[in-house]
Amino acid sequence: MKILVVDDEHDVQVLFEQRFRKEIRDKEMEFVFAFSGEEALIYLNQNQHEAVLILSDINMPGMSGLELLRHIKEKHHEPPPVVMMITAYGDKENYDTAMRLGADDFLAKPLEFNVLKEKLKAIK
Amino acid sequence: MRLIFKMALFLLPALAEAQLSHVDSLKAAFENVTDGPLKFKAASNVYFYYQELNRDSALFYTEQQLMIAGRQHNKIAEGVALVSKSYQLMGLGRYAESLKCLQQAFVIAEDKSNEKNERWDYFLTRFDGNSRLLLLSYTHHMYALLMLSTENLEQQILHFKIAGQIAKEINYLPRIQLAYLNLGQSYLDAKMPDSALYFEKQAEQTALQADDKNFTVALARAYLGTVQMHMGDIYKALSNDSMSLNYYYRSLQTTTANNNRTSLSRVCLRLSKYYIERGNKDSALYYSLKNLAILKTLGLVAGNETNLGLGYENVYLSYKLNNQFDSAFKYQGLALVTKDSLANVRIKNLAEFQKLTYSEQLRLQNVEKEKVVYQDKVRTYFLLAGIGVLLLLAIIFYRNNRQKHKAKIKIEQAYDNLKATQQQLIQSEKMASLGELTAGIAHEIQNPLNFVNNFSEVNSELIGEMKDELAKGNIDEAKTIANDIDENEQKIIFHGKRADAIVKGMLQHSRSSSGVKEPTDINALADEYLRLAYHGLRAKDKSFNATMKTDFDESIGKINIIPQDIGRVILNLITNAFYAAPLPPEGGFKNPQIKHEPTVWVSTKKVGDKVLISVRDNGPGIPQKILDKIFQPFFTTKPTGQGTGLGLSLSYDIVKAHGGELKVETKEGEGTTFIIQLPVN
Repeated sequence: MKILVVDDEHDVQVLFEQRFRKEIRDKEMEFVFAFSGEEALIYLNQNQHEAVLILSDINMPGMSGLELLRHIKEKHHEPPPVVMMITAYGDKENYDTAMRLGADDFLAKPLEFNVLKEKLKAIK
Repeated sequence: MRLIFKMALFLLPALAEAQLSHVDSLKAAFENVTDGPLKFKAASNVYFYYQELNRDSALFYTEQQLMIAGRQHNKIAEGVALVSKSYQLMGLGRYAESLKCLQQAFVIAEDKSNEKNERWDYFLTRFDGNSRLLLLSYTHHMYALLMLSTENLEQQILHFKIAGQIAKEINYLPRIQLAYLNLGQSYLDAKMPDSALYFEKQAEQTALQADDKNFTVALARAYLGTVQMHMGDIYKALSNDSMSLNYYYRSLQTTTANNNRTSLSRVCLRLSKYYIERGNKDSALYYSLKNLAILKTLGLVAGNETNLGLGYENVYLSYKLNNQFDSAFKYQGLALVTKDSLANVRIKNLAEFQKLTYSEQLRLQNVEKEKVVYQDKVRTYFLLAGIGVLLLLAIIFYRNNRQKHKAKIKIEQAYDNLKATQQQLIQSEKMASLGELTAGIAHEIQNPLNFVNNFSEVNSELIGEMKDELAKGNIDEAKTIANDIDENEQKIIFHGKRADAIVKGMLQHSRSSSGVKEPTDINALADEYLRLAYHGLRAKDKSFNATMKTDFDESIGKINIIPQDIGRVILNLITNAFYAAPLPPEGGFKNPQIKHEPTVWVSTKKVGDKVLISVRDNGPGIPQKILDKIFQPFFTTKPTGQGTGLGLSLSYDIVKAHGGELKVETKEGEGTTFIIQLPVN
């Protein structure tokens, strides 16, 4: 399973690689990283159907996570990948907007990786 | 100013008789007679001779009379001499001295005990009645004349009337006639010619009663000359010139016959003026020269009618009329000099008199004692009134002061309230910008926390794994894990510090400025606040989006500023820029086809000894009409409740306090650039 992680924080890559070191080692999961919404779109356009799951931050400079979500859900990408939103703002408004735009799940920072792992395994 | 013709003539019954006698024999009689009533009578004879001829000589004989009266202790005689003296002094213009004599005479005449004096023959006309009352009439009459000389119309009429009244009581015709005569003149002065004519006719009638027994015919004729002159004056006032001239000529004859030189002088003056007015050269010159000749024999006279200056003037006018310019010129000079010096004398005399009349009036308030009591009362009243006024003033001042004090307190309170409100507003502005920050900060802090938590968890997992590997004896594998742990630990430390910095920054922002300048990396500061502002806005408004572009001059290094203050300015400018950037210009975007990309540029640049921090947006720009208001406190274009209107105002003050400038460049429809200009040192 190929998972695209979108966040403007570069350390997210290290964190995910550490957290999913077993899964990566066992080839259960493969992670790709994009550090902005724009970068994520470019990757998705270039690598159709590769990523089945997208984990995106909401608050990013430039294109926000929600805009990226709308792009993914409204255009291209058939079948649409699972998109999980991750944000520091776990408020209802953010949640509702994300859900309205077609987000599959909504996670709050700091991330509970155990919870995330459960969810990812459920999708698989 | 036209001179008022009003010098009174005082004629005494002795005049005609005196004139009949030869003066030398009169003087001889005075020298030879023994001291007493007869010597007084002899002195009177010489005095009456000189009375209207020469004032200095007349004055000499009044002094003689006074000495005789003093030696003989005859108060009535002294009173009569004093009144005669006052007349001569008056004629010389010495009004103050004249009044003093009259004051003494009044004291004598009002004292009934003086009636016990030995009866003397005080006047040339025989009188058997009350001598004291005759003296009183004489004194009132003289006082009235003094009032006339000093131009007090009201007082002169009053005292002439009193004099006439007393004379009637004692039936002394010469005084009755004189009272009428002078009242006529006074009423003429009062511009009542009809009343004047009445009194002059009374005077004429009284004269007709003369029967040589107690009023000699000769004396009656002497008065008649003056009455006739007054009649002439009255007819002149009634514009009857022929009657006027007729009476003047009659007067001229009578006064010449009786050798009343004072009256003669006055009649000549009238006639010369009459002829000058009518251009009759010969007559004018004749009477003016005659007047002058008489005036010269009377001595230097400062009366307002028997006046040497006036005499010269008439001569000058007459010569001018005759085209004799040499003589005219000579007399013009004399007239000017004499009039001038006599006017000065007269003013001085009148001034002295004024001083004296003031005390005389107080005397007339009655007895000295009453006066003192009265004055004391007046003083007390004045004192009380003064105290009252002072109290009132004090109360007014006190009230005023209290009101001012109250007003001052009110103003101070209002000022304090205002200051407090201002402080609150400044604080709320800080809080507002803090609110903008909080969302950004929350996001910013969650990110590092995310790493701290998760890397810690990863590390504890890794430590477990490392232990397993060590137990298995896989040293190499354990070493690799240990390296990962170390790497993660660095991340934990880094993000922990990051969170710490964010919290500190937040605290610094909410705190009042420390006011301490410290070397600060302006680029880092600008970048930090740019991120905070961006995230803050994104957190508040999900749809918000804008492009951020930065261009930092890495050569700036650190500059000495108060970081939280300048940070606040940068935050404010960036927040404004983010607010403005997406807004359409007035009238909308020119080409709706081209998508407007809201952009904010933050750049720094070192120029000479200055650092420029620019915050630019591509918003609608600031309209020219409000451009000069944007730095004013409480000015805002944001909807009510959304902006305090203090952001730019505070920013301006902060930059100024740093010795810098906050400038704005804007172009409508294209955007705005705010430039913070700070000194490097």
